[in-house]
Amino acid sequence: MPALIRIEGVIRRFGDIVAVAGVDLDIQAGELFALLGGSGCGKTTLLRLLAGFEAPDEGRIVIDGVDMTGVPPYARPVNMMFQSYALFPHMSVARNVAYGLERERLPRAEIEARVAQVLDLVELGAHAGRKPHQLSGGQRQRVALARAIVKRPKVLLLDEPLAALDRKLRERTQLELVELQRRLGITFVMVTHDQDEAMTMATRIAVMDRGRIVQVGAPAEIYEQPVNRFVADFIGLANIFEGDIVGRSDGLLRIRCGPLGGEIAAPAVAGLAGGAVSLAIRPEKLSLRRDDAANTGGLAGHVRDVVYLGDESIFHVALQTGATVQVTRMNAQRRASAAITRGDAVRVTWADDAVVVMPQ
Amino acid sequence: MSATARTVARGAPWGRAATILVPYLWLLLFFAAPFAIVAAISLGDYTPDTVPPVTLTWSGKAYALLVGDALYAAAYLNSLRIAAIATIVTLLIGYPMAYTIARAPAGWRGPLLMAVILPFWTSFLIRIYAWMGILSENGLLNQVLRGSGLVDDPGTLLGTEWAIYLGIAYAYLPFMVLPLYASLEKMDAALLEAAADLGARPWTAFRTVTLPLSLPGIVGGCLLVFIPAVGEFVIPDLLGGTGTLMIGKVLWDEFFSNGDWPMASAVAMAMLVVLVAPIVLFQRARARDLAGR
Repeated sequence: MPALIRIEGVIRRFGDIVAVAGVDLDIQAGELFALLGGSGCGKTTLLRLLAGFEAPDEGRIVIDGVDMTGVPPYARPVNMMFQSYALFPHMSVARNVAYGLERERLPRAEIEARVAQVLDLVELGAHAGRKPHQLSGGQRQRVALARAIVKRPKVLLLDEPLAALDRKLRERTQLELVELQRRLGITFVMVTHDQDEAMTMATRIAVMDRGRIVQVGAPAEIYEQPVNRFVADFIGLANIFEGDIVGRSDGLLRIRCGPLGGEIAAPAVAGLAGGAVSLAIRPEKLSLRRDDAANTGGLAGHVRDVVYLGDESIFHVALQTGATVQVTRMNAQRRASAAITRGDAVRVTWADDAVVVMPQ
Repeated sequence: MSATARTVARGAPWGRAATILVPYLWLLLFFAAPFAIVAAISLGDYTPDTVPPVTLTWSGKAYALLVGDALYAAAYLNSLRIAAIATIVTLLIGYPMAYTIARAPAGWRGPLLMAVILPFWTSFLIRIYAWMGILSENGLLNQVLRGSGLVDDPGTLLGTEWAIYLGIAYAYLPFMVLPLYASLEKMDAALLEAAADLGARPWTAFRTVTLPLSLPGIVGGCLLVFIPAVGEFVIPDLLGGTGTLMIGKVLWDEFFSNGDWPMASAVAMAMLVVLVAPIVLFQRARARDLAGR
């Protein structure tokens, strides 16, 4: 199946700054696709290129088989939900939502029916006559959403759609948006700097850095198999070390890594056969045991700090090799008497397949 | 600390009272008192042999003449018409200017606004005299028109109503541009992007978003031009020539040529009444604009 959105070699410069530095990307119909990255990584510029507010200096964008070069925003089969919502302050909620349909010169009865329908969908039917400044932040967000989906676009672009909401509302709205996207079948392309939001909502994520896409994949893929240090570090917590490949045995790489106590084994990665590499181990994939007669495997160290987060705790462990690692543990029991605390001598172990090998 | 606090506490009611008093004193001295005097004179009798040529009574003869003589009604209507047309001309010139300045790069806006206000540094009268030089029969404009060979007999603009519109538009342009700029500048650029995104072509986006949102600026600018233009005297006198009947000129003639103080005062009072409606409108529009935010 051909991609719904095809981005080919797109470059966008602002003066000396290269905001988008050569992006190739295919997005399939029905995806909830997230562009994830820190501020200034080019994710918003890429979204604006899709909407038509910016024109690429090089490359092209094809949406649903049509080359979008030179097509103005008002003629594109996409709609955008703005970070600031950009609701028209002089129009009621219903008029805001009707605006896009009025531009299509649809019959009045059809406009009214579709506005009522979409306002019911976002549970704002009772507020149709209000002005935007009479609504709460969450309600405004839903008006912006209603206005963007009422035209039934092929693609809905969302610029940090939940950034202005408080945390509890944001978490609930994340799931509501996913549910809505499945029901409508509209392809969503979402920009976010919040990795949790991307992980929760997206079917696929593109991690961006300095105008380029570093990795594209499903959330689990990006978390479990980051392609480089940047991605490993940006998504979730990671213990990252440097090492050298020294050989292969039983389908595993043998890697010399001083901070991890000498030679360790790790799953092979295509294209990496020798030389210096980076290693990443997620904190939840390390196990922590008390250092006593019953536990002798792994690396010895002592707990330097414990960060209690309620559902889990993060242990900062200083290893005898000189390295420091973070280990997370679920607090499955309430105030366990055998809890490991600050200053305790511990041993840290892990499975071979917990180690991710990345090019340096 | 306690000494300072006591001083401040003792000084505060006085200071506050004085702060409130100053504008009221000002209004009393320079608005209410002269207004009362003019009102009193307008009700008096014209007595050419006394100094001043007025005897204070409650006769109201001047008002009877004002209503009775069609000249005055014609002058008022003509003033309103000329001021209205001139305001529209000013709006048509001022809106694109304000829009361009509001959309200019941030560093350019200050200097451009400065350029709009800059003519105020020269005396109003001198600038209107300069327009006489430009618009007269052998003035700059006609010389250029003849020199270009396009027009043999361009006619004379000076002495026509068009010269008045031009003069008012020129002289009052900053009063139009500044409120328009203020309302256009604070408009979120994302709104126009949202309109475009929802299928509005640039002209439609302007008509449905920019124009309604700049309405407070349009109302404010138009009233700031219209109100003084109705009573304008210098521009119709210097640029409009003898044929133009405007209430400012009538007032001048009554006072300086005829020396009829009560009549001149009655004309002034009537002008105030005529202008109360637009002033109230202006205040209400401003109040609504403030409440909307």
